[in-house]
Amino acid sequence: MLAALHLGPDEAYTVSIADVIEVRSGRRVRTANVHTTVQRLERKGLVSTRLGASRPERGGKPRRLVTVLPEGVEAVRVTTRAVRALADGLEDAIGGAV
Amino acid sequence: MTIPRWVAWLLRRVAIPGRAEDAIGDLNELHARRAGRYGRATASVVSVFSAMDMGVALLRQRMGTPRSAREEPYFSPHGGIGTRREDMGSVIEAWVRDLGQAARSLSRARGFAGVTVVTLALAIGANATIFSVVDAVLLQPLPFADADRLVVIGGTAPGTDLPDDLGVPDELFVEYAEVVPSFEDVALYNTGSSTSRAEGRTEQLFLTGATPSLFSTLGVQPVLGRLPTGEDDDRVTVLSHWLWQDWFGGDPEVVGRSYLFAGQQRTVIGVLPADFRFPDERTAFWIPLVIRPGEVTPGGFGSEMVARLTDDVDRDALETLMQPLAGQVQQRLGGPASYARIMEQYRPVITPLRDHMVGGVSTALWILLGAVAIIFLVACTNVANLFMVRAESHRRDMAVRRALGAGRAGLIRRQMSEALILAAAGGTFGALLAWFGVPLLIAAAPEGVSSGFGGAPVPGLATASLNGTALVFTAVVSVLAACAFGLLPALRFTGAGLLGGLREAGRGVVGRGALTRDLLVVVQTASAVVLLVGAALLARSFWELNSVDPGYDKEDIFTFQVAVRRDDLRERAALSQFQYEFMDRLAALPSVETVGFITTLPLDEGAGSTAVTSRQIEASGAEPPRVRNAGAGGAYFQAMGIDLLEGRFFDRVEEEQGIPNVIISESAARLLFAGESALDQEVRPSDNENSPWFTVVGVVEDVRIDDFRQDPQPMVYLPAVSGSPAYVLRTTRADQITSEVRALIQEVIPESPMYRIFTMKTLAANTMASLSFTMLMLGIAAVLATILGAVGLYGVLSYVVTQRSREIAVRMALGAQRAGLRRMFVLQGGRVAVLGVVAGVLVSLGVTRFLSTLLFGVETLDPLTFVAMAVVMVAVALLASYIPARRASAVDPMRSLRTE
Repeated sequence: MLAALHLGPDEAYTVSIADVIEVRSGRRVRTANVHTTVQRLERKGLVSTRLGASRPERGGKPRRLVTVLPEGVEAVRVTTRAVRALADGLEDAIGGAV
Repeated sequence: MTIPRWVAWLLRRVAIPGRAEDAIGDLNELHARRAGRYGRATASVVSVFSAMDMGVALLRQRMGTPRSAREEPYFSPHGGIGTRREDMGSVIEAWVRDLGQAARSLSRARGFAGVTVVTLALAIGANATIFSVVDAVLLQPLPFADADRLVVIGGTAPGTDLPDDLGVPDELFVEYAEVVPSFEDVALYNTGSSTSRAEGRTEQLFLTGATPSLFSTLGVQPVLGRLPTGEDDDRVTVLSHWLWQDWFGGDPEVVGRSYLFAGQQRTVIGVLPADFRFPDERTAFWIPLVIRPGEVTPGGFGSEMVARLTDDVDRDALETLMQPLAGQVQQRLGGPASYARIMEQYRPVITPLRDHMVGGVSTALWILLGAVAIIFLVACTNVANLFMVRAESHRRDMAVRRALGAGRAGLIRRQMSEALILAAAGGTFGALLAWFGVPLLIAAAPEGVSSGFGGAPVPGLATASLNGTALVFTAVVSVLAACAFGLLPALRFTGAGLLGGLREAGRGVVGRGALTRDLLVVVQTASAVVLLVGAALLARSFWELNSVDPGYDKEDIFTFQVAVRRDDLRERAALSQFQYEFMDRLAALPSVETVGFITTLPLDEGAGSTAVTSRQIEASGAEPPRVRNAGAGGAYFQAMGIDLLEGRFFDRVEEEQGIPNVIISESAARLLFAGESALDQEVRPSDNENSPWFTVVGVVEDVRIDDFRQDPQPMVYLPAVSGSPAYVLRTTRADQITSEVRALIQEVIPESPMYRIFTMKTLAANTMASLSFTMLMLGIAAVLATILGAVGLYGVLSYVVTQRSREIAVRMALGAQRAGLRRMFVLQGGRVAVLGVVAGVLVSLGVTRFLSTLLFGVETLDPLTFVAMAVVMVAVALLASYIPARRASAVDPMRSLRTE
């Protein structure tokens, strides 16, 4: 969801999300996993998806564009806040600010 | 740049309708990106994997979504809107679900699953192993163009006591080539071995001499240089691919150079392709066999002919057409009376090239294929039985499901799922077994009986491996197995009568399956009996053949050949002098007792054949008999353990000077001098009137010359010296002495390679190889089948005992004796087994004749073997019944009745 927020509703789709995760976290993720995760988030009502226009570089197939819903944004806020709160005061132990 | 269409098609089938398109788009985009980065080929491979990954993810998404939530409107191509009821994805989903369930339920029934998988793995493994070899040897096309039109033509002269395969004499080859219209191309060839020297190596190599037409007949082109033509004389050679690689490191410059091949300097003119092996893979090089139609000397037998037939030739008609030609040729050319007699009786023999190359091993392979097919049958019936028992124990469960509305197809699918999983596991382990089994089988397989060189390797055998065909075969067999044993119970318990089954379920009644189960046991027992009888017949033959006294010893004899070609040894006396010095050196080696030599060794090169006459026969005008002959020297008879019956052995002077004395065998003495002592009588070859008379100085024991199956033939030994004899050493270290002998040769005659190195024991084993190999394999199959049969019987009876425990309890409560109960169950098992044994014996009566070519000293319908094996099988069956019977009699009536 963080990656989707970075990209914005017109550019977030499976492949670009995977790219952002790789660039920002250095961790490679499989496209199939992103696809499954998006579907799960959608079912939980945290994101919505719509099909974009057909694109020649994709063999005439559309992208499934991901929009983070307000519920999703809220979930991200809660989670990051929790992580920050838990990590607070551990700067020496884990190195650098969180 | 997109992923393949079929991949997209598959993804659409597994995804929730409408959810596949964007995923396919993602894959396309990534594929294009990868292609730009790593190249097309790599991208394709990686993309297939990521498509599989995506497919799994899509299927998971689908299975994690309730059906109601995923039914999106479906726009039918024919117009109209509806929802898709059973698309392929939901079928796959159902299968995946059932397979998962089946795997879980199997993991709870480990005993059942284990026995099934092991049984199937053994059967499928055996099948795949044998099939791999059969495929390589018998089914793969020979590496020649239109190989099915190639035949080998030999000849035989029945009634002339000549060897069975005479070959084609040069003059008849010329006649055939001119006269017979059905030959598109013909060639004459013969084989031998000779010392060759090149690039600092000296070895005895196998060679083939052939008319230049050999290569056009077989349809081969050289990879380097050219092929011989009619203009080439006998001073050129073409190399085999392996010799070119081994000796010359694949150097293309070799063409045009000259080396010592087959006794003279020859110019290499070409190299043949790697897969060209003719007449077999040992041929190192080919030299031209020059035949000029006008200048042929008649009577040169021993070559063989290979011909390419025109389309649609009837082989019998061809033989009839060729038959009179031999007589016509003889009348035109004349020649001595013995030649006329042979040509009068001469019959052409036409054999398809493959049969000629594969020889006797094909019988063994087909028998093996039959045996493993039987094993497979036993394994399948066994597994079917196990499955039926399992299905019956699930009967109530299934009836309930059905009653609650489960579809019939669904129930069958559940049953099939278990069968498929087990068959897949069995197939996988079976393929693994075959992977290891094929090399073992190749190592154990006998050498074939091809022409010329004696035991030639079976073509294709060495290169046999667990190939694609065999794997497909294994896979098909596994699926067939799954169907065979999965569907039978599934169909029986999902039919209309199932609901009736609900009523009786759980009451401990032995169901209607009893007849089917007994039938399966009968099939198993019968199959095991067939294999037991076959294996026992072969074992008896082996024992009989092994206890034949060949006239010479098999133990403690080492033999080898060495060819001495030195200018200072041209004279007979000098060569004899050298041989004796050489034999003295050999005799001085540790543990060597005696040393002798012979021109042609029994069981290896056999012996020559010639018609001989005595003064008595000549006077009576009778037909001179044909005997085998060879030249002996040194202490040959003592080293071989051939006993002297009368007279004396040769002495050194006789050999040195070639004094016309002979030693003859017992049967030759009887044949030539019936009723008289043979000593001091005289013999000579009948077809040479200028030959001196030879005086008989000794009579020795008869020996078996070509193999142990043949009765000893009359034999005449001449005192000999020879440039390339087989030396025979009697030593207790026959297995280990090779390196010492080699070192000695290196010291005395370094220019001569040592070859045809054997012990008499290996030669004896080789002559029986085809039999011992088949016996071993059939023996293993028979033991396997018997064990499987016993397990099957045991399983069925155990099940019956469990099902009838209440009945047993009632009987015991009413006063039945334990011994009586035991007897009842043993007899029940015994009855079924006896039926199986009877059926097995009847089938065996029909099939043992396929073994007839391998048998020795025992009839195909040997009553003793049949009875003995029937008794063995019944005994095994009774034993297998006894264990469950004992359990039945150990039932505690009170406990059993209370649990009900």
